[in-house]
This record gives sequence, structure tokens and C-alpha cells, in this order.
Amino acid sequence: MGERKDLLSADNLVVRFRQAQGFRRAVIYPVNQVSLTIARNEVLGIVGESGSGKTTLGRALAGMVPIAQGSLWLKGRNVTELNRKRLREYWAEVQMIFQDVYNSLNPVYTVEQQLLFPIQHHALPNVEPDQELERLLHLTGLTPAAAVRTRLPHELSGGQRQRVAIVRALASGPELLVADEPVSMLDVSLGADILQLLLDLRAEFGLSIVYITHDLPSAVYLCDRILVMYGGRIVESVSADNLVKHSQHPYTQRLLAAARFEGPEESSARSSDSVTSSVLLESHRGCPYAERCPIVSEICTQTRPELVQINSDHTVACHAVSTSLEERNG
Amino acid sequence: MSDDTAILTVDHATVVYGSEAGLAQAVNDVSLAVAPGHILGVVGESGCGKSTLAQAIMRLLSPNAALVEGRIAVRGRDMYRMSENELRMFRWKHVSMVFQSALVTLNPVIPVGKQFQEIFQIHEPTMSQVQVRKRIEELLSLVRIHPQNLSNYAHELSGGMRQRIAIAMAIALDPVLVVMDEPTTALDAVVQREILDEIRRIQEIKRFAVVFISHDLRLVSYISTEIAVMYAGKIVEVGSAHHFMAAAHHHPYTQGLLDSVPKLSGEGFTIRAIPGSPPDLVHPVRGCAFHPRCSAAYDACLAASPILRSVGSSKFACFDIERRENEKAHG
Ligand SMILES: Nc1ncnc2c1ncn2[C@@H]1O[C@H](COP(=O)(O)OP(=O)(O)OP(=O)(O)O)[C@@H](O)[C@H]1O
Ligand SMILES: Nc1ncnc2c1ncn2[C@@H]1O[C@H](COP(=O)(O)OP(=O)(O)OP(=O)(O)O)[C@@H](O)[C@H]1O
Ligand SMILES: [Mg+2]
Ligand SMILES: [Mg+2]
Repeated sequence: MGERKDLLSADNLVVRFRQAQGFRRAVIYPVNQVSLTIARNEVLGIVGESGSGKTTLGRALAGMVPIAQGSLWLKGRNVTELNRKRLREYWAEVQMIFQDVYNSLNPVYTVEQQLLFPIQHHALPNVEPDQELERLLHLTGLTPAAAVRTRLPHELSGGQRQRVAIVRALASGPELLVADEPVSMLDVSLGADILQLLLDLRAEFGLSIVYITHDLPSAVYLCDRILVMYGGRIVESVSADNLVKHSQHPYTQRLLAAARFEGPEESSARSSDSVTSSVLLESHRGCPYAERCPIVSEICTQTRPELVQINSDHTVACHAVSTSLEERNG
Repeated sequence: MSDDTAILTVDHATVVYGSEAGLAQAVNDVSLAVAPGHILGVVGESGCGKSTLAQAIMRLLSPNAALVEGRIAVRGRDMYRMSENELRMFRWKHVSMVFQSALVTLNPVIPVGKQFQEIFQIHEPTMSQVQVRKRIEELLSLVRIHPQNLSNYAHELSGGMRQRIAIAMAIALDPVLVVMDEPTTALDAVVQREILDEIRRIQEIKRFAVVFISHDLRLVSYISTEIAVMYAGKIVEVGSAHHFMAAAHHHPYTQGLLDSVPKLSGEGFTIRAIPGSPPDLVHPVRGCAFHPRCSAAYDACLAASPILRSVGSSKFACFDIERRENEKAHG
């Protein structure tokens, strides 16, 4: 499974959750038949609407939620079949930065205590842990380092906690970093510095990164390839270079328009239903985006569109796109 | 700066944190006022004191922090002269807050719907079950959450869904002031726009005042009526949002923020960072806090700290802007 150069590959991954819905219990599929590969050194972006399954997919890739169907491979090993001990090794190779930093740091350890342990464990023999800690704190703007080191998480601002979480994930020298909204609380300037730090680490250590975000501009800036998710499924996969100019899926285009702060007043276009509820249910038929799509047609509410290859680095799941493609090809 | 009609007035507020390293001034002599129907956007880099200002307004400061100077009043009532009990009834009903992390608001072991009901039970005991239910559903539709999700626990919701529920709770009782601390950081641009448009729409009807904290200047200029830029605990620039993006002058720090807004073009996005490191609040530099990172700094900036002065339609705390204004005035 997967080519040699692939670090991680997922094949028809499905994650299933049980949720109370009103008086009944419903089963939802926040990750539904997702296939992807991450090459060594690659930065893969996952963008999409709130509740579309980005975090759940990230957690699945990091081995932190049970996989209901499909398989996940790291360097040719089937992760879904790992026992507990092996899974722990996996967690060292694949680190995750969590979306909600208020939960992810241990509240009773100082910054120094959170960070020195992973640094000592993974530092190269000629690296002095203390200096390495100083260096990482400086790189992420956590200065004056001497003062930050002795702080407890609740004595830090939101963005400062986020940066401590980033340093902690990097300190253990992972091969793959799953970063869930890592700079969402930082201003662009500082965010840009941290994204640059991630790119430097990739160049230096061959780190691969899964970058989960709702922020299209930063995804285009950081990533090689971008997956667009909607309703638990991938609806478009395209190189970052081509996303701005050549994206095809109506949802991707709506995201782009919103990122430019243009397009019609959203309120006039909104549907009364919420984004997330019904499209994640097993009983859902048709395209997940049909309900909100400006170019929806009959078939979209009946049959789910498959991902179709447009060219070597671009696939789209949209009936309108497939139809026009067929017409063009005669 | 006291405005009789303002809903919120903050007068020379200074907040200090005590820690092992010493005293940190996270909010430094801040004055502002927000009138009904207005949205004050507060921007500034991570750690500059935005959340501390929000917590000071709500009188929800950490145990190791104190408002050491100044006065904060909502509708003329001094927040720091209320008894604990008065304060408890005042919060939610008259002033409410959306925290930077929704997990601060949401109780992990109670379904979110039950928490919603409790807010009404405590503050609106005369409302019937049916009325409460209807009101909650209205609120959820504003933030595009399906009523089915009311039976979920916080951990069963995505980051953005939790934030949206926290926003709905904050406006549940029609408060006169809502303080929102990065309320949409976990939301994509589409949903963000929808919610912001919705907040502005109901705000025009209900005339409540909003303090909207964000690190995203573009977002703030989209939603706000006034914008305040904070650096190292101080407001360094404040003015009407209408003129903001096109204004002739900006504080050098604001200019840095504006320059670092990523531009979307066919080539993708370019981002320019502000050089230098964030200020040390425990050992502040002499003079203007921004001078070590400022390309316009001159000797005056190293000697004293500038105070906010009106130049044109905005106010700035910057010696360089003052100097240029004086030169213009004297030929
Ligand atoms: N409980 C505390 N004890 C000591 N220092 C604190 C405490 N809480 C915050 N600080 C410090 O006070 C400063 C201001 O923090 P605040 O949370 O107000 O920043 P912020 O502007 O909201 O930043 P962000 O955008 O990262 O959320 C920071 O430097 C922070 O480290
Ligand atoms: N532990 C869980 N148990 C049950 N349902 C869950 C659980 N975690 C997530 N969900 C549901 O799965 C769906 C996808 O959530 P997820 O957190 O993956 O979304 P997301 O794309 O990361 O959204 P956001 O941008 O808001 O963070 C949501 O409907 C959420 O309610
Ligand atoms: Mg998420
Ligand atoms: Mg904050």
C-alpha cells in the first residue's frame, strides 16, 4: 500500500461517532471514505467548513480515534493493526498540535517542565537541552525566555499557550506533525514567523506536516497540496499553486470569495439548516454540498459525486464539473 | 474620556499581574467608551493585553491580577462597586462575555442544551419551558447550529461549533454590552462572515454595545465602528473604522500590522512580518514601548512615553506623528 516515498497513506478511512440527537442516538460519519497520501517533506493542507470533520481526520491520522473502516499506513506498516505498545511508538513519530490549547497543556506544570522532558528525550547528543529550550522559545517569540519558562499555562495568553504547544510537539522530533489550527490565535505577523519555522524544520529534518485550518490564505502560503473537506468527505484535492486560479468545486470557490472578503452578503445566501447535522448521517444521499450549492441540479440530490481526476494533481467531486469535462472530451 | 450616553466607559484603567518574575502591567492607562449600537474592535499582537482588558471590564480577572487604577462602568454603574451578588445577576443579563476558549464557558459534564436552559432559569424565571425552548432555537439558528446538537456534550462538538454556541449564549438575554474575545478564531471565513453579519443585524435592532477583540485587523475593520490598536498594554491608536483602512496616518505599529495582512493574488499570498520581539511587560523599556521595533523612532521616543493625542479624526500615541503634524502646522 502506498508508494515508497509516501510517509503516510490512508485508504478509504471511515470514522464513526455515536451521538445523542434529541431522544434518539444517531451514528455520524465525520470522516467518510477518505483516501490520501503524505510524502516525506510534504506539507498537506486540510481546509473546510466548521464541523466538516477536519479535526477528526487529523486525530485519526495521529492514531487518536478508532478507525471504523479502511486502513492507515505509516512507512509501509499498517497502523490500524498496531498493538498498544507499538501505538505508543507511533505517537512519538506522529505528533499532534491540538485546536483547543486551553485543554492540551498540563495545568500544573510550568512551561519549562512541559518542554524539557521531550527535549531531553529526543535531543541530538551534542545539543544541550537547556540551550535548545531557549532557542525554541526565542524562535516562537516566547520572550523574555527566562520569564516565560517559570510560568504555568494559566499565566499565559491564548496565543502564548498555542506557541508552547507548538514547541512541545516539535521538541520530540516527530516525522509527521498534525497541526490543527496551530496559529489561529496569532496575528499574521507572528503566525507567519511560526509557519516559516515549520517550513525551516521541514527543510532541515525532512518533517512532513498536515496543516488543518479554516484559513485559506495561510494554507496556500504553507502547503504543497490542499484537500478541501465538506460533510466528512474530500470534495477537492489540488496543488496550492493551482487552488487560487483553477479550483473547480463550488464550495472551494465560496471559501475563496470569503477569504477575499467579497461576494454577496452571506446572510441572503444562507440556508436555514445548520452546516453539520444531516450530511454526516449514514442515511444522507447525494452530494453533501447540494443543499447550499448555487449550481445544484437534480442529480446532485440523488447520487453522490465521485472524485474525478481533472489532471495529474487535481481531483474534484462535483457533478457539474464532471459533466462539463465529459462534454469537452466529446 | 467620559461619555454620558456611552454604555461602557473605561477611565484610565491599569491592570497588573503579580508573578515570580515581578509585576507585569498588562493593561496600562487605558481609556475608552462604547456607545449603543457601536462595535469597538480591539486589535494587537499576542500577549499585548487584550484578554486582560476584557476580563477587567467583566471584573473576571485572575486571582493574581488587580485593577490597580482607574474606573470601569457599564451604564454608569461602577463594576467594582457592586457586591458579589449584584455582580452575579448583572453578568449574563446586562453584560456578557464570549471567552477566547469556549471550553471556559461550557461545562464538560452537562449537555449544552441544559446549560442554555439554566441561564434562563436563573435570570428569567418567569419564562415558560416552551418560551425558553423557542428562544434557544432562535438563537441557535443565528449561529447555524442544529437544535439536535443541544443534547451533545461540549467534547462531542467541533471547535467552531463550541464557539458558535458560546456566542449564542452570550446574546441570549439581550445584554446591553457583549465582550467578545476572539469569538470566531475557529471558524472559516464563510461562517465567520455569516455570524458577523448576523451580529451586526441584531445589534442594529437591539442597540447593544460590543467590544470585539481580535488579532485580525481585516476582520475587525469589517465588523467594527471604531478600532483601537493595543501595544504592550496601551492603546496606541484609536479612530473610526470607516476611515481606518484609508487613513493618511497610522501608528508605526498599526502600519506594520496593515503591511502584514496577506494579499490574495493570482500568485498566492504574500506575508510580511514585523521585525523584532514582543515587549517585556515586567521590565518595560524606557520611552515608547514600540521604539525598539520602530523604523521611525528618534531620540524623543527613547526618552518618554507618548500619550494619546488627536490628529485629524483619530488619536495616536506617537511622537513621530506629532512632530510631522507640528511641522505641517508651522509651514
Ligand atoms: N495569570 C497571569 N499571570 C501572569 N501573567 C499573565 C497572566 N495572564 C496573562 N499574563 C500575561 O499578561 C500579558 C497579557 O495577556 P493577555 O492574555 O491579556 O494577552 P492577549 O492580548 O489576550 O494575547 P493573545 O492574543 O495571545 O490571547 C501576557 O504577556 C501574558 O503572559
Ligand atoms: N468525540 C466525539 N463524539 C461525537 N461526535 C463528535 C466527536 N468529535 C467530533 N464529533 C462530531 O463530528 C463532526 C466533525 O467534527 P470535527 O471536530 O472533526 O470538525 P472540524 O472540521 O474540525 O470543525 P471546526 O472547524 O469547527 O473545528 C461534528 O459534527 C462533531 O459534532
Ligand atoms: Mg476542528
Ligand atoms: Mg487573549
